[in-house]
Amino acid sequence: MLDMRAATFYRGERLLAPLTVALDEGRYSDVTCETSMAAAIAARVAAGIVKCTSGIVFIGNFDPKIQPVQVKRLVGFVSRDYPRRVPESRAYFAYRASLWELSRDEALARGATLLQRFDGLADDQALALAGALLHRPRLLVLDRPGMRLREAAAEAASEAAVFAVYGPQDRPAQLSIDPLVTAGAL
Amino acid sequence: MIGSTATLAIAASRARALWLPACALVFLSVAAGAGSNILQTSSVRIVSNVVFTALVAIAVAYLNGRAMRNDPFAAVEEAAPLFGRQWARANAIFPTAVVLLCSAAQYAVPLWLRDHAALTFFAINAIAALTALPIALSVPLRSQWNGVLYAALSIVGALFCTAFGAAMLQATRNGAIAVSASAGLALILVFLALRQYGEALARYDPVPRVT
Repeated sequence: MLDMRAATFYRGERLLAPLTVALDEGRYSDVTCETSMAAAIAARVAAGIVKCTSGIVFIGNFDPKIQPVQVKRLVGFVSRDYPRRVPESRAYFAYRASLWELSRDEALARGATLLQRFDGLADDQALALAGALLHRPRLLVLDRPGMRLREAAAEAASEAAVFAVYGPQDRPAQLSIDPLVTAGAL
Repeated sequence: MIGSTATLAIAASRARALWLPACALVFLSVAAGAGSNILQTSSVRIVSNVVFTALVAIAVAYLNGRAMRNDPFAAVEEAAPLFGRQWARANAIFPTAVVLLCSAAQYAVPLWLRDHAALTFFAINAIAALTALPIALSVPLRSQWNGVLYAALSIVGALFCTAFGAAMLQATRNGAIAVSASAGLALILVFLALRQYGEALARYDPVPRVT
């Protein structure tokens, strides 16, 4: 589902060291990067939001550089930058349903069910995770998640591939159970 | 129409985020239009109105870009399955409505007084606004100096269309021909600018601000 080979990102300077990850559906992987910025970029590269400068990234056999729409239909992305003002959940789900071209009623019902499931999470995190799972992604990418968010995501998306990226301050207690190779100076 | 639900949802989201500054810009435009009547020469008045309109377009584009980064609804758009051109069109709908309103607001008083020449000048001003906006929409995507260059280009584009319309008016003494000629030129510039904006959005790599 996720195949990253020596993916890097440069903007003036190197922001992401070469990163290699192979991940199948139903598996999960946690990666710790050397900086928080590198972690945020790695998560976005894995979600097809940011294109790698060098290396290869395939998501579900699609290349994000030439098939970004197909890629984004497969991926659910939870950003660390939760909204300062938590939007009203029904409006938020309806908006996501419009962007992903889902049935509005089904999306609202599924969103409400997911929110109930994430009862223990903070409101902003629960909404972000429920929103990311609304279109039933096959790859869930978590940008520097907290431990509870990470657990809730793994439980709710057990059939999907779950890829979590951390900065040096957010080192998770649990380690990857999936084949994971990192290359370069991480 | 493919993706029209997403397009309308994004336009509505921008309207929710920007309606207040948009109203302020419309009122400011009424004041600027009334203020420009102090200027004695009509050509200077037209040019000052066009420059003001282009500045409004730049301001709206900047606010639109800021909404794309800060609005909790807009934050999901970068992860959404949208083509760059579709995102560009959706992003342009509300700002276009705002600059057209501002353009009309500048000529509100003369139009209210049924000044027939004002209708032609308003049309030329509206065309200038429509030319400036798609160029200005790229400003928030660019780094500092490139952004300044795009802002300057949007003012130049607006003035260029106006100068062309004014020259045609001078030559033909026919407002309809002048407006049509200006609109024809604007259409080409708008097409190129919007296409370029779509390409820029498709290639855009939003590097997050990490604290």
